[in-house]
Amino acid sequence: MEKLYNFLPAFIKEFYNNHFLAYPLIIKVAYVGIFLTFFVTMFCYLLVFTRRVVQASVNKKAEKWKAEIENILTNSIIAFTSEDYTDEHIIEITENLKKLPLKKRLVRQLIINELIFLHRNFSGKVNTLISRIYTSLELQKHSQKKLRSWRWFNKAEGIAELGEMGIQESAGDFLQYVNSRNITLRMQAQSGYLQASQTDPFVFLDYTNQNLLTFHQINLMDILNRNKDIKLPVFSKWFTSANDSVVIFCIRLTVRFHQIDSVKDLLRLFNHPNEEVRKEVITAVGDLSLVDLEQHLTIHFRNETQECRLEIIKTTGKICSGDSLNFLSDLVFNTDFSTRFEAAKALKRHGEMGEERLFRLLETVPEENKSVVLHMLDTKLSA
Amino acid sequence: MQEIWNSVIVNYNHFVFFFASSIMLWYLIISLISIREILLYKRKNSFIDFKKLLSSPYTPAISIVAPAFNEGKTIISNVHSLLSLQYPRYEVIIVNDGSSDSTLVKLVREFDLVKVDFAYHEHITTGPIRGIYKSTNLAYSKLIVLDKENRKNKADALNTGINIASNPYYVCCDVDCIIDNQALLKLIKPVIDEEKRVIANGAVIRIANGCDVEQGFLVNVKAPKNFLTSIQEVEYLRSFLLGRMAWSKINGLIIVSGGIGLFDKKVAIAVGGYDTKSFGEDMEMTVRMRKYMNNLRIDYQVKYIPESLCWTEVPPNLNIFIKQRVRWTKGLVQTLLDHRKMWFNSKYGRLGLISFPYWIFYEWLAPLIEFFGLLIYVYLIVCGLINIEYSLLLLAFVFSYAVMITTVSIIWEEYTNQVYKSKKEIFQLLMVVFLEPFFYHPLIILSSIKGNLSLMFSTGHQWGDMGRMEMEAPAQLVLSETVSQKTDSNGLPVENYKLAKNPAQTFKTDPVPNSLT
Repeated sequence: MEKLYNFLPAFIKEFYNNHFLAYPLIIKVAYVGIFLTFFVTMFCYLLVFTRRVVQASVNKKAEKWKAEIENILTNSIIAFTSEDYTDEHIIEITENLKKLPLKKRLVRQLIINELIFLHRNFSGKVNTLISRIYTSLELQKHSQKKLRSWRWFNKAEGIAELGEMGIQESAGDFLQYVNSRNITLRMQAQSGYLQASQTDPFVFLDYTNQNLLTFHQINLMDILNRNKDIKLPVFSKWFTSANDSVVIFCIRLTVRFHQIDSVKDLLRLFNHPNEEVRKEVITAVGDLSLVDLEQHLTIHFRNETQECRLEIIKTTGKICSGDSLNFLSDLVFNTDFSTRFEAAKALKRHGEMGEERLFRLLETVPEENKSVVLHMLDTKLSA
Repeated sequence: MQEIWNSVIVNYNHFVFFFASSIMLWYLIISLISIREILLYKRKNSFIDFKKLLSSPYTPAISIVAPAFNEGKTIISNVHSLLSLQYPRYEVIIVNDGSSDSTLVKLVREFDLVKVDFAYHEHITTGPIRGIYKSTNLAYSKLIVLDKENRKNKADALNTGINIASNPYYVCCDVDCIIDNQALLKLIKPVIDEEKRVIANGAVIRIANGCDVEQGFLVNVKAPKNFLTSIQEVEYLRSFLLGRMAWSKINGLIIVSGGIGLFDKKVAIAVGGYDTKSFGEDMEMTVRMRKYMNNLRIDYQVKYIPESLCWTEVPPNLNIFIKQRVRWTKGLVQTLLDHRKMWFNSKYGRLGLISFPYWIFYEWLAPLIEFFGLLIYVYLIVCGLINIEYSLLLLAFVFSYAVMITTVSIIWEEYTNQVYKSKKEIFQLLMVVFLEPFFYHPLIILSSIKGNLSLMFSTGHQWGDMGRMEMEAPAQLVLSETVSQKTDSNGLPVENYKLAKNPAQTFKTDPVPNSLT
């Protein structure tokens, strides 16, 4: 403090000794406050003006390097969309890229970003070529370094890069994060493992004890849609999982990959204690058009919760076998609006025979229930 | 007697000092929490590709509910804009709240609408419905227009829209607002990416005055040129960007904007929809939804995202501005009083112990305390009982503190959204910050006092007139319509255009509280 005091100009020293020390505490606080707020405000001003300048300069550099990287990569890769590549070709591309200043973090990251972009947009042999360029440049070492960072977003970035490039040796490292309390890191670890593990890509589901959120499921589904090479197990294996969100996800995957052999296991889930799981099973019955199970659903109807009942009605509408016409017609008389609306809608989905039933119902249903029938019969609404 | 009076004055001074210090400390805490949260949000979203939601069958469907009252001038472009949002499954419900202009006629013609036998069910009791319209053109299959009798009440129009919404979530917005193309994708994300059930989610609302808008789409973002609107932009930034993010973090947010907000339809219906007697229906509804979840002991969250997803026009002149703020004050006080059982009530957790006390002391009572403080200040000066040097120093401190907090919010905008292209615009906003305490803050206090008095002495609700304020617009810019008594074959009023000097434009933006939040 004394050193700092010595640095102060004479007029400030004079003010400090003759005025400031004599002020009451509140006024001293106000003086210090004014000084600090002034300093912070000025710092903010400085940030505004320097930020844009710095940003513009970084963007300019990035654009220059990006153009060069794109030039090398796209030219090399497009050539191999129609013909096979050899190890010599990979060496040649790698050598070209090594001419760039790879020691610079910006350049390295730009190359990784570009490779990831291309990897996502190409499939087959070009996809493998891109992964090989990534490893030939030893860029996986930089991604793995991120994985060891204490910052969660660096770890997540590292996982995303290694996962996208399918670096199998890192897959095991991702497993420790599949139950992370950090939702984003958890999601990246799940997707990374699915992409990187070539032997058993779904094994992370065995370890997942946290909620597999809807967004995470969407993310995993997207990866599965993009990567046709991922080895698919029989998903019914996880129907007995203690984690209900894993069960729901696996029901969805069973439907997505049409694993009809799992129907028997699916049937057992009708008695699952979780309403969400039962609802998903009912949806699956409709999506897989399991006509044989339609009767089973209508029998279960009475014992179900309102949510599941509505799902059963929707499912009978999806199956459209005609076996549930009486069941649905009775429900149009129900006192609950949603039930009668969904029942009328399911009848409508039955096509001509459903419509005929709706016309007949128009004459028999009470006045207050007619609106749902009229709604379904209005051709302008079904357009 | 004089001694007692002097003692009262001195004690009041001390009280004001400690009260002001606590507000300043609170602002500092709120700002720091917000800065951290915004950074976290940005980092989290750098890993997110929102387009994945577009192709997934598991993305929840959304209904947009947009009430319209005499919006004939802009309704077509606004609806086109709403129909072109990026989202896999959504419907747009326009509630024509008994407009007396050509709003409905224009909608019918532009979108090939026909009256349908829609099964309307009153989950929430509302005013009478005159008809429900759907388009015969498949390109507009997402659109539903609901024509209802005007009850001079936006809440009633919203409730009608909720009644016909077919999806589990609804986004409530003002039809004249400009919504970001990816707004629905961004609003739904917390719902499907949080451990707890998200019952409502809000976003940053920005000021459209000065921006280039073409056919309901925002073409170019520009800082407002008018002094009053510029100052409001600064206030919106401080309130929406710096304030609400912190409240969201501590799960204490009690207002999700009527300008744009996503709500869980089941919960909204379970609490009986928007309160038609409230002056601040969006705040009241959020509080009631939270109360409901607390009473049921269900874990939930009210979220907020620091992205500019909605652009709205704000009052460009003093008269309308004060009217708007008076209404907001009334809405705030009414909501607080209606839910007084929640005050300091540990049963409601942070809501009862942090949010309500904050809103009571720092939003409702602060302007009143400040006003009385000013009166006493003047009295002390007149009586020569004040140390002018010290009092000016304290005022300078308060001023510099206010400038710092607002400057930080502008800087944070620059770091996060960076909507303004030129440095000049940012500089313009930074200059406005210095004038705010002198010209704008007194107006806020005045409106607050007026609002309190108005609520105290009002005999009944005059929502319709208060809620739908008019502003002057250049006569050469717009065509206003008056409705003739003639009707067409559909039973719809036939429009009769004529050039108007003061075309109606409404301001139904979200209440920005007096201070930070």
